[in-house]
Amino acid sequence: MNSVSDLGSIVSRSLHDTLALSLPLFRPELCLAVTVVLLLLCRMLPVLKMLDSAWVALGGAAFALFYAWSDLRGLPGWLGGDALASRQEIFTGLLVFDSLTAYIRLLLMAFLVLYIPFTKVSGIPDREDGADFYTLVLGATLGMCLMASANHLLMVFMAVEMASVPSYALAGLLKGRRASSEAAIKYAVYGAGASGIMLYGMSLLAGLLGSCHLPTMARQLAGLAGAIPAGNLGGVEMVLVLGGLMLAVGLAFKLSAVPFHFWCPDVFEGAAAEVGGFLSVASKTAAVALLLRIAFGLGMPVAVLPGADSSSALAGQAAALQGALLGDARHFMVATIGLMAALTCTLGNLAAYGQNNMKRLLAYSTIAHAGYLLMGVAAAVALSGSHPASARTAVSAVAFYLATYLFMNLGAFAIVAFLRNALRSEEIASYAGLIRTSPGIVVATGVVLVSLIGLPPLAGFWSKFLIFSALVEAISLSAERPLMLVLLVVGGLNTVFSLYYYLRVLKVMTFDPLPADRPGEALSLVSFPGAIVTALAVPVVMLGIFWSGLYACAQLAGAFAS
Amino acid sequence: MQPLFPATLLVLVPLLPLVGAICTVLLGRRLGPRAHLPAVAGIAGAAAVALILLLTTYAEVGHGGAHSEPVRPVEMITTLWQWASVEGTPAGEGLTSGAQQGFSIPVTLRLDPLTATLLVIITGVGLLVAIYSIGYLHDDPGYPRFFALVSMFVFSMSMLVAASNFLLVYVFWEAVGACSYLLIGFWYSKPEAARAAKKAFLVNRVGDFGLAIATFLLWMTYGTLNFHDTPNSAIEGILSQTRLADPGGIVGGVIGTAICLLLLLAACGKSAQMPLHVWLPDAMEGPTPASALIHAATMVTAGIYLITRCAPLFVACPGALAMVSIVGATTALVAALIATVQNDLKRVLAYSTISQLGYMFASLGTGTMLGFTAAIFHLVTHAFFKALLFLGAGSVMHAMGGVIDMRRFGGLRKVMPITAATFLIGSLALSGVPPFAGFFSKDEILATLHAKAYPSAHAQEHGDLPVAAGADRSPLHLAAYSSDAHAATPAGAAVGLDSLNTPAVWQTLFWMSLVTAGLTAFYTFRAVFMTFTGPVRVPPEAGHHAHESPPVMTWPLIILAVPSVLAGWLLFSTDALAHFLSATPSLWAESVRHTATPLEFHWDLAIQGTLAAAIGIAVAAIGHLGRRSDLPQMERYLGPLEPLFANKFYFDQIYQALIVKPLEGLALLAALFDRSVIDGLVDGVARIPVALGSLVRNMQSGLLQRYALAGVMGVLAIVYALAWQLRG
Amino acid sequence: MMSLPMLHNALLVGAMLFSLGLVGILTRRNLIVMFLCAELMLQGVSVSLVAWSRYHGDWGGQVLVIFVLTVAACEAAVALVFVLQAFARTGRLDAAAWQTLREATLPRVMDSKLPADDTLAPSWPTLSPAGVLPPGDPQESLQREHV
Repeated sequence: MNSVSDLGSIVSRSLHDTLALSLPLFRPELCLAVTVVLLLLCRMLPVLKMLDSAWVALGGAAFALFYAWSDLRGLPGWLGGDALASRQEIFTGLLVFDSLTAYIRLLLMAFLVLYIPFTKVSGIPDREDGADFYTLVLGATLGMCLMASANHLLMVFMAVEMASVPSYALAGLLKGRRASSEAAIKYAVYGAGASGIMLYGMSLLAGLLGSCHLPTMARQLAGLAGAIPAGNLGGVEMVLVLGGLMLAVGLAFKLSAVPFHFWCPDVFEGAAAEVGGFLSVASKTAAVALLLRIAFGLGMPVAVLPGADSSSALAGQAAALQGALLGDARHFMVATIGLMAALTCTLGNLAAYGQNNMKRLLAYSTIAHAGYLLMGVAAAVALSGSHPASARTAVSAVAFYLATYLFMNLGAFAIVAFLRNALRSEEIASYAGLIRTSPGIVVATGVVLVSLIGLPPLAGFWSKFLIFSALVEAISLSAERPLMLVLLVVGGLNTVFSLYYYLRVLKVMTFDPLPADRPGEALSLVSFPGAIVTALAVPVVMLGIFWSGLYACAQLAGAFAS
Repeated sequence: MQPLFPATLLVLVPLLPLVGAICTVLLGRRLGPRAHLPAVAGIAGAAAVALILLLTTYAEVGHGGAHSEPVRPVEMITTLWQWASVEGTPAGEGLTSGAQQGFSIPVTLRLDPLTATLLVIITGVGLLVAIYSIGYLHDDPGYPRFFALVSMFVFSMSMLVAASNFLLVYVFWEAVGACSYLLIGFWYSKPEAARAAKKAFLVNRVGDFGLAIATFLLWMTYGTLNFHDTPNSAIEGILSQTRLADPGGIVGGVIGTAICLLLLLAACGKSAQMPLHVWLPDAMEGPTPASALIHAATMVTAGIYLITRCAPLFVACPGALAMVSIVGATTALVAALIATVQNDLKRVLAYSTISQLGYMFASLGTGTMLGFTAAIFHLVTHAFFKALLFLGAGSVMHAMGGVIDMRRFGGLRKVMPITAATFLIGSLALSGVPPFAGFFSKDEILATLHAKAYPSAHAQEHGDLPVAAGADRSPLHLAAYSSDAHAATPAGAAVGLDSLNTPAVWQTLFWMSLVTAGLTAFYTFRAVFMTFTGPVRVPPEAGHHAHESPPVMTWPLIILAVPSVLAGWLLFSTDALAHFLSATPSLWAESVRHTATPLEFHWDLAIQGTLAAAIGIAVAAIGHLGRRSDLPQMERYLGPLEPLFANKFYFDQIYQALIVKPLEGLALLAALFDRSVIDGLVDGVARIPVALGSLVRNMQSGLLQRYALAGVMGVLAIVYALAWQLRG
Repeated sequence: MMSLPMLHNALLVGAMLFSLGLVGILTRRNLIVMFLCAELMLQGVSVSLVAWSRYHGDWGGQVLVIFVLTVAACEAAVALVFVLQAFARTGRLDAAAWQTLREATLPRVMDSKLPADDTLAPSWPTLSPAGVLPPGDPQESLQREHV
């Protein structure tokens, strides 16, 4: 143990680390935290009660967005530099800041800035609940930011819980409705169970590898794999596999991947559409980022480590050697993720058939999209061992997908919410003949849904195209050829499947006769709700045409995979 | 580095009408009777910008003396963005290379003299037509729709002439076609209009098919679709200055001829040339302003534009060039003959449009600098006077309560003097009476055909110049080609076509054109006399409308009348247009440039042309001046030819029997097969996901325990699957 | 530092706690008990984490346990709010009472057979009398019967 005299140096070192290194890279999260405190103060102080909490939240989110953007702009890879060099461990290795962190954070903040006006206009939460609601939303988003930058199992657990617990409360936001209570109970109990399993998996992995720090764990894992001759792993291997699977359970829960998707349709149906939009977009974005973090953290040791040898060439060599030793681990991850991807995608699309409730349909659509995202992750991990450049392309495909998904899905949920306000119903059948009274909203719905199908010339087409081209690359380059082939076929088939149920909604809106008791124009585009829908639908179109700028950003995010 | 100024402005020309169209769509209902405002404002802005661009380009070309050549070709390229660049390089910056990625479509606009000229015509005529429509369509229920479509059309058309890439040209070629389709079927509840729209759509598809195949062949042959050079790319643009400077840059022979013939097919479809001309007369079912803008002044000239733009490609293939002229001159003659017996004022004008477009094709086919510039010259003057005539006809139709049959009214000069006067000016211009606009442009066309037909006569006049370039070069080409001709048939085809390029053929074409000139004067003045002279007769449908049109309609007529009188003389006497156009990169090509001849006014040809017009007018006057238009007409002297002309040479009937009927039969068969076999299969396949879906959904029972159990079972299943896989 | 056998024992305890929790979640229908089982799983994890931490001589695991406890408390607070709300609404703690949110086409799951009612009269142990039975009010003794 260190003597007391060292305490001063320890304190000063950690102060330096926190204040000079970590906090400047933590500004968006700090903004969120400050805003959460402000919102709580608003609730307490009578003077501040006059202030509408939505604007406070929006202000905080806007600041956070600004910082997130400037963080991304500040990356060395922004103008063709080496993006890898931007990797920096902060808070003594608990978190990591790199291009993926910056990109996902930017997405989440952009999401908030779009989401808060949307909820403000849609009227859920009402003014009374506003402070609670935005506190929960911002708190959960803060947790999601941590998910995207976690570098340590402690942070993985904390971040997942920080994102989950407010989500449970959000699901039960509509206190007066029985369905909302049911959604919250199911979500909370299921979530608690899932987090228990994930934690047990973590304890197994961390215990066997003797560390919670992901890069250290990867090195230990490589050492373990190198020390024991192949085919003779037995018990240790089984325990590691079990640990990995249990960790995957927690992630699958957050991603609503099969077979842990059951909560998703029920919660989405029971909770308000606004909450559905939050869970489906932000939560998913963060979960995919966390999956990438863990898969690459454990599967590909990074070359640059704090405290490693100063000669980076030597470190790189060592990393490459360890990377080669981790082939089995990657194979395991690819198999698990790929299997889940195929199941998730198929199940989500098939179950969406015959749904009558729009929110439930979107819940299954969310599950299906999680499947496509998992396919991209599987391709990325499969390629990471042998072809790092292609793996980076695959990661950027996933990153691009996440960005377009933000607009498409938030747009879909916004339309559901506004139509609920206008029609007092979320049943698909109640949208009949909408084109005669409010053609603008039908066009917007068409744009969003067709993009979710993935047809050109909308944004969704490019995201699917990029994911599938990553799969094709994985088929031709990686060792996981059969699985990748299966994934490509499944993905293609599913795209065809999904045509039917999305287009059915449009069919109801356009061809079905208008019910006699429909009151006038349901929703005009020239109104606040219409403006929100337009603001979400227009990027879907624009990103279908001018997609290269976003793709450049996504490529930057992809560069995190060494 | 190009100057920012013209580049930004160029983007504005298509952008403003597009914004106008979008605003009209969004706000149309709200604006109500003021729905024209966004469209008119957008087009007016575009017209102003186009004028500035024309002046800028003109200054860039430089004036020089009347006979001096421009010093250099002028073009400005603006890449808006890189559309669909896939793989590899981050495509954030616009000017990443197009070719090395293999799949990249730069959305690039160009500004050169040709484009600048056409932009001014499109936006200028578009503006006048839009203003005129305010009066013409004032209480139509589709008022906003009309303005949205017109501004959409102006957007598409200006993109078409400003695009610097064959694929973009194709895209907007289709876009103008779509606008035209929608405008022809504007009164879609009227069955004739719906049928005419369908016909136009289908006939145009034939031409578009040609353009699609041509685009594909160009891609195969040149490896790019850009007109211009791309920085950092080894592949030169198809019509770029570097390639044009290289004598062997353009591919001739069978491939070249095939490309040119396909482009010609496309041009025939859009510009209503034989045998694809049948859609244009029926397209008159659309609102008259739309006919004036799209089916007289602008869209139908897209074919002329395409061939002029691809001039170097055509010059490399003399056979294809000759075909252009043959198609053009034949169409001109046939359409003029048909026009002589039409009784519908708009149809007379429609056939006259076809005929005049035929003139332009005939001129283009000569493949000389004079030929190309004369065609564009005629395009410009024609746009003015034909728009004037159409708007005049619209004014008549408006006043007559929708009646357009010339036999049912007469003597209207007393009822609507302004319309009558301006219509007369337009007719004089169309007939080629000096000094009206049409005379000069038609004279240039006749001169260029004459030079081709009688090279010796012209060679004596300008002894120092290479004569009849195409004729001289064709043997060379044959020799160059026959060396690598393996397959007999395609080579034979090319040879066969090239052999058309003989003075005898050109002489026939020249005389056909001269006869057409006479016929033009005849049918034009027949229409003038029938409509405006004789005793005043107004059909009962006119009601209270039988008076001069409102100022918002007559002012565009007056404004258009001015260039119809002056444009020809101004542009001819200064030689400004030809000088200006010759700075276009396509016409700067060595193969085109060396055929340039100094400005020459051919008195003999002028006299011949004027004589033909005078005879035509005289015959029309004998037959129709001052008579009741519902009396038996000149047709009775035509004898057996009358039914031939009246039935438009039986083109529609032949198509009906040869193409439409068999296709209908085939379609019926296919539909039967589709309904009985395919549908059953599709339905069966579609049921599978539904059945699977209900199976999957059965798991969602709503019970928390079952969910948890399913999760645990799922993990166990994965463990099992992994164990099985790891073992194997 | 901890010896290997000690580690094994501790891990075994942790695993058993965890499994008990898991089985409890799967089998119990009382919402509060289900939630307690979830907490039990976390406690199993905590035990094994502490054991690993002792074994490796590394404080990381124990730090993690502190966080786990804190988070579990938060989670419990939030979840119990929902349970209370549910109880106030229906008066039942049965998880099966909450199945309105399911596929529209499926029937409600009903218990086909309830377990035998356990409301039998409790049998109290009887002690042999020691000495003289003290005199007292028979009414009073009846009241004391259910203590």
